[in-house]
Amino acid sequence: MHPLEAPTFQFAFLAYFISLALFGAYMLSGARLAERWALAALVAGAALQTLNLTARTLAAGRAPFSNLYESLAIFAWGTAVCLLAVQWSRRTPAAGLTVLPLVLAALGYASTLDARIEPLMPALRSPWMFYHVAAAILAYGAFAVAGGLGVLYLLRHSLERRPTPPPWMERLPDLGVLDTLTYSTIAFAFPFMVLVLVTGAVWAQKAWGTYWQWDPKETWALITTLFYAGYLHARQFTRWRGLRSAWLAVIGFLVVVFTYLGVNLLLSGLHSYASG
Amino acid sequence: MEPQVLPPRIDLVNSNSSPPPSDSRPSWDPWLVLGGARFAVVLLVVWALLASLGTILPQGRPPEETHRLLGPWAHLVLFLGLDDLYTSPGFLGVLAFLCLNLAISSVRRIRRVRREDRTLKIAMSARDLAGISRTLTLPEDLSQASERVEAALRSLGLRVRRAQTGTDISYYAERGRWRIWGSTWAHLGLLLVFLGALVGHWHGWSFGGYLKILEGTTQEVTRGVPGMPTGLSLKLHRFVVVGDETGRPLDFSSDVELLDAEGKTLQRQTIRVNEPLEHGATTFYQAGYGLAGFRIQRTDAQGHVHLWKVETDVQGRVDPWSSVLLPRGSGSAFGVQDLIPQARLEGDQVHPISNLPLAPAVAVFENPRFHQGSQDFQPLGWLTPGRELQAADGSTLRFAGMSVYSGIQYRHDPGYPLVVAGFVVATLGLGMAFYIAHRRVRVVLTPDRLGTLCLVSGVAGPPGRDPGDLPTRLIRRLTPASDPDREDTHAPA
Repeated sequence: MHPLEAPTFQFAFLAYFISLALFGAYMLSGARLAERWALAALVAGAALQTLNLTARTLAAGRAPFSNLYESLAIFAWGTAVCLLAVQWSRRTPAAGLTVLPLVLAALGYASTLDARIEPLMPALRSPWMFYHVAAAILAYGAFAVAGGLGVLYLLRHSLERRPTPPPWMERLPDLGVLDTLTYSTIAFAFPFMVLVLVTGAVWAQKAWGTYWQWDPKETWALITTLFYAGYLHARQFTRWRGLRSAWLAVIGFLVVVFTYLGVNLLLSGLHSYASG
Repeated sequence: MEPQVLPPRIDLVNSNSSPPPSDSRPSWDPWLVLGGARFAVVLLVVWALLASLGTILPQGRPPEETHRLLGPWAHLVLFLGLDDLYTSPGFLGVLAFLCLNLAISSVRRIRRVRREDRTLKIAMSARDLAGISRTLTLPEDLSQASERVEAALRSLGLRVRRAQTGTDISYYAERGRWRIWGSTWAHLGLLLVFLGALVGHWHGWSFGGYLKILEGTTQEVTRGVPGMPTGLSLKLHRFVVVGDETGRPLDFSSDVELLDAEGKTLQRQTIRVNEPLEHGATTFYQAGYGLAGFRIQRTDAQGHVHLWKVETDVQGRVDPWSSVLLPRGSGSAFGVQDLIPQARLEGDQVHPISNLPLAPAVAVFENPRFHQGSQDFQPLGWLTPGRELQAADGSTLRFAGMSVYSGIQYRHDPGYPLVVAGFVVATLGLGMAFYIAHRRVRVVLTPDRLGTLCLVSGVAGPPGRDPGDLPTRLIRRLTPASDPDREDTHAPA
């Protein structure tokens, strides 16, 4: 293990936690200073995690994609980067409140797993693995952010129906903004999700002589893709927007979580090496 | 002169990428239904539900095992064919309808875009754009102003089309037109993938098989069944398997040579997982390995040496009865009861590690009274490389080597290029549909007493989509830096 790995992991976790607390403080108080420092902590967390993953890559001599510990760490990093991208495109501090708990949960779970660097099994030694996992990180990270934005939409929608909404509701983005942001994030992620399937199929063809084996992991990846394809078609052609769209974004992320973790933990298959 | 504010007479949101009005209304025209977005969503949901069912229900098991696993539900599952769901008519039927939907929607879309292209009206009057545009007055006369506007449009990376009606000059400028074709490409790419997969699974065009080859031997490549040669054969020169002490395979590779019917070399390559040998549409994959057999050297009390060869069956196991070494004279008979490809020996205890053929352990049994008709084989001990066993008849047994086979899977798939082409087209299509912004702007120039009146209007994409900042950027380019407030009005769009 690289000497930088453990401290950068711990400090990244701390930075994300501080960022979450500061986003919370901003939502309650409206203090812009808290929002600025929350963003700074988020940037610091992502930077520290970039350092952490780089250190692990150097120590392992390969990209850190091989087991659940590495996968969770990189999922957390991808989600944090996607959250930053959303913040950069449109100021939505409230998104930190729903997305950062996912980042912290992923890192917290990773910290309970064996972090030893293991040699790659022969089936994983392929350049396709890099493209396959990189696409998955971006897709899953963006879907996580979209799910978080969907939760914000549902929260704001329910608060607006109260006779006396709490004052902090005004610090949530407008429903229209949340709806558009959720859609844009899913539209960004969807081609990457398709790329996950495409690169996986081409890789399987190279390694095993078959594109598709109906392995539970690849089947659930297909189900995730079909779900979001349905979302995009429904939104584009049947005007499913607003509340229904937000629910779909949240349910979609639950499907992603099942594909990412549930399948590994509950079903066995070709991707079972990713369970630990 | 202030521009007249008149109600717009044309729909500038005549987007090529917006859905057709018919799609938002229920219709029972089979062409519209089968190729419609609603039907697509229903098919996607049904297909996803069926696929998820296949991950929960046991698949491809014998009926009795399905009964054991599912109890009373097994009858229903077997009746509906859900025990082999992914090849069931229902599942494939939904897929077929999905393909039909993709094909019809693609054709409809291509026809619509071409129709809209043909009917696109470039020429407009100032009256058409009034009320939905932003205006500014350019000091030049009409011809000079048109040159400047055209140059500004081109400098924004726009493809410019021009038309003149009376004294008005109209421009329709756009960029990112690829976006219109994005979803069509994505749909057609998926159809190509399905077509390639169909070709790849069509018996007669495709075939495959599995070879277990020993080092130094050659095996014929058949069309999946014996007696149907392909004219190819494969020779294994060397097979290497590397694993660690925990039984984890680190690498396994085969140095193979592909030969034609005359024994001429076509290709030679070291193959491993992820590095197959490709010969036209036929590909050879490193798929497995195992112990094909082993040799035990028996040295009797008189010093005579016998070599005892034992072969494994297709599952890599030893048949205890066919492996018996019969006695010579009054010596013992020996048999093998068990074989572990990789094991660790501690005293007389054997700990199985893995199926890697690296450190085999063989359980040897001895029957000293075989020649008297006894069938009683007693365990003699575990034989491993470097370890000797002393038998009751005074002979010594020693492990004398093993033969390892390389498992090579081959597949002839003429659909592969179609599938890869489909993947490329679909991925490019999605990139075009989601990452390219189709920006359009309309400009009308009309003579004015102060020079030329310039009306600029952005054209929105699909409903609800931001038309972008093209009009603002164009106006900024047309307005001298010293005169930032030159824009006259900001009429609501």
